[in-house]
Amino acid sequence: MKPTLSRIIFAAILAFIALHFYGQRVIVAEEFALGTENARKVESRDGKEFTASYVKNMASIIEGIVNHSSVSAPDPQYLLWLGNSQLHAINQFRQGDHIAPYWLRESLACSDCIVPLGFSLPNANFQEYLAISQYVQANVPVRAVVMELAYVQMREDALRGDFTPIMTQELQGRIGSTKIGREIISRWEQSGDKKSSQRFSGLEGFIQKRYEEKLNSTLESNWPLWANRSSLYVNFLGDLYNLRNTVFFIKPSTVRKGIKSRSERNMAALEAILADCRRKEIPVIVYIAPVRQDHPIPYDAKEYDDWKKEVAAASARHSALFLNLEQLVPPQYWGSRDGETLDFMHFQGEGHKLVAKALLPKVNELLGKCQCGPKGGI
Amino acid sequence: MLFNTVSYLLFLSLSVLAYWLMPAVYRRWLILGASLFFYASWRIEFVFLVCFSAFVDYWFSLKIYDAKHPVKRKLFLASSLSINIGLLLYFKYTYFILNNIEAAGGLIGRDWKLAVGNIILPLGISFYTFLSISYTIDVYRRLFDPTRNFGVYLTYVLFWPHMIAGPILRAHELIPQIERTHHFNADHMAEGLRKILLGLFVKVALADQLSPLVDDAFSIAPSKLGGLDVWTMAFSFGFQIYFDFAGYSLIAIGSARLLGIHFPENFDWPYLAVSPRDFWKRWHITLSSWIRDYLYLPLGMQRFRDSSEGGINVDADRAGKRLRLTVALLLAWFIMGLWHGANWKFAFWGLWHACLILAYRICKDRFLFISGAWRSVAGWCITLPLVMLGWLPFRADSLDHSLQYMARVLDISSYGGVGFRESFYLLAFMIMAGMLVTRNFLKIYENAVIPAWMKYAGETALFGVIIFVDFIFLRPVNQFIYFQF
Repeated sequence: MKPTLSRIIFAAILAFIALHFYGQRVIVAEEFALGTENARKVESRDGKEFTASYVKNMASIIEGIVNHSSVSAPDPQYLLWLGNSQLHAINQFRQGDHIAPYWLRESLACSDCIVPLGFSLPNANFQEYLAISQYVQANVPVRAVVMELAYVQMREDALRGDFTPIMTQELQGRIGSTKIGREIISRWEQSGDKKSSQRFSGLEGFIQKRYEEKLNSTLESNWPLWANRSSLYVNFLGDLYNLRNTVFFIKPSTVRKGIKSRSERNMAALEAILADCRRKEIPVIVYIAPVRQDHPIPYDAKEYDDWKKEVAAASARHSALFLNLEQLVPPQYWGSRDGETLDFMHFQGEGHKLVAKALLPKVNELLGKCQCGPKGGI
Repeated sequence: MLFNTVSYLLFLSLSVLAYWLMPAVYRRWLILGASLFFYASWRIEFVFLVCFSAFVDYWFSLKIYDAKHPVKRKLFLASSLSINIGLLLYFKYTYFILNNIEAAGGLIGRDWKLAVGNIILPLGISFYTFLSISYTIDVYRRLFDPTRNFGVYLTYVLFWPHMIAGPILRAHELIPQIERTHHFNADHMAEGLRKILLGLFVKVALADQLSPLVDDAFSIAPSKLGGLDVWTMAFSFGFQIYFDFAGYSLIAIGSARLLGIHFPENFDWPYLAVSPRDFWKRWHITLSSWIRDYLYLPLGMQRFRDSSEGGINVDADRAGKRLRLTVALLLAWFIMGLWHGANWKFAFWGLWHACLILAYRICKDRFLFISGAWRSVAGWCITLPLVMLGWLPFRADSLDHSLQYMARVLDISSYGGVGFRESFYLLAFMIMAGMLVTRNFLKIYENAVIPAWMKYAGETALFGVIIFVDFIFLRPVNQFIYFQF
């Protein structure tokens, strides 16, 4: 059948009507990733944030510290607390709930003497921990490091595109001081993720880039549907993701097998952090992240056990304190992602208190008690 | 100018509108002006280079045509080819040549390092050089009388839909279309729009979404990967480059169609090829046809075909002829490999395909006992993985990495584990399955007796989905892969 213009015109009309209605269902990428039952929490004191779950916000916090605008105490000790979304998300958030770094800070004898910088990224891997720890140490005196380790993080790989703004030559040099660091940087250089974070990266070096940016900006200002494209993109990818899960029966409880080469890279990055901290005499606490215990965990049992042993051994090698908190949070403090599917990663506000309470004596032991009097808190 | 941008769509719309509104006598100038603007959207200074190169070929072609003495004709041809190839060698192969000289010196303990300044590779130089070469040779062969209008010739070289990355058209296929007055035809407009929409879909929704996964996979050291990982990478990159280049070609063909100009198809479901020779009748058809007529057959001292269609499709019947054609094949593919990039890994890729074709020639008559349909299936099962493996050197960082990837494929013990998320393997499988289903569906659809209204509604809905997806995914995150050639 010969193509006709009318078909294209009707197709375009149908498409734009569909886009209009599709765009009204707004999915925030982050909410989609966390699930509707989980809320991201950012903590602050005196209007100054000390936790972050985006790289750009970590950079803002660090900048504030460097400019002496972040805390009121003259010589605060910074504790760098690295984690994934378990550190910054609260399941079934209620007024008065806070995340673990907040409770730790509140419970410490002097809330401004020891500042836990809770830096976490969704699905963070240990290679990103290495990058963040080097970034923070380059700018701020870090007195101790705490790392939350979840087995599912071993399946993640490489640095995400969000790291672009902080990846200066200096930082790349710091990260690249170890073999795994060099591998991370080398892959970063070739990374498609880095490219896709730059909107017009395909036009680098083209004169066209200038007027393409102008055109896009004009369209965004004058055409709401065009301005809504990033939301449409998130919607679409989210729907594809759900379709994939439906077609292949993938659920949060589906057992995730280890990916050997990724695991090796992540463990090498962990060793690099531990070795670096040991060399600089920065005490480290490493803890196995709490996992809900009332359902079979979504990991291969043997792989998971072997991994915990490996982490314990690495901690011992580098004189880091190892804690296994996997059973810390009781079943009643867990929930679901979206009202239906189980959430194995994110617990309720009470769970965060428990984590802070478990770490408090160890942190006090490592950093020493402040001169100020004892405080309440957890 | 990248095709997958808002500015290109605006440029195209304005050009097409102006073209049909303007009196026919000015249309050629509009195309020329638009093409110059199109190329200048990359870097304005290289417009002068391409115009200079075009003028040189235009001038020499007239000299070839007017010369009576065969020696003089040959001399003019040689001069034109030397300048074209010289420019290509300078811009594209200087670093490659110098690096190899340095490496050779290193082998004998000499320091032969030579410093040159920063040489920027002009966009599309490989393609417009081939265009120019084919024009000059066609004039020499007396297949085509050269145009005596430099504006026409410049338009032929610079015509924006095909200038950067093909399809590579012969002068006798394009110049008459440039000179002819076209009449507005709504069906041609519809056809052009269809191809552009489909091309954008294939580029932005398929190729560009595969790109970060493929880039990430190839950033891992080969020694850390297993055999299954390497196969998946080979297939995934094979799909990426196909969608990328086919997408580009569709947009180019569609853009030309909006102006009433016909371009031949450049791809014909290459991953359904049942033999290596069949693959080269389906992949980058205009390039393989060019190689056939200007390299392969002349090197093999055979009669050329004079068409940008058909691909490489030549058999030899006599032993002497066979040997000559074999040498010609290896040489032509070696050159074609290097044409793709100044690196030995591209030469390896070229020779890989030459060896596949040679192996096919040797083996094909031994399997005639297998019935036609099964022979096709068997041929596809053998051809597809070998073609996909051939993409590894194309994408790998170096020849060394390419060989390491191949070694992983041959290492049976490496097939135990996985190096990527499960979805990466699944995606490669689903794309292949999707391609098979789509092709078979289209075949059935073409022959099925379906009420016209149903076909109309179905195609409208399909293009509605394509436009929907194009709108969401249109962003110039990646260039077209073939732009680097």
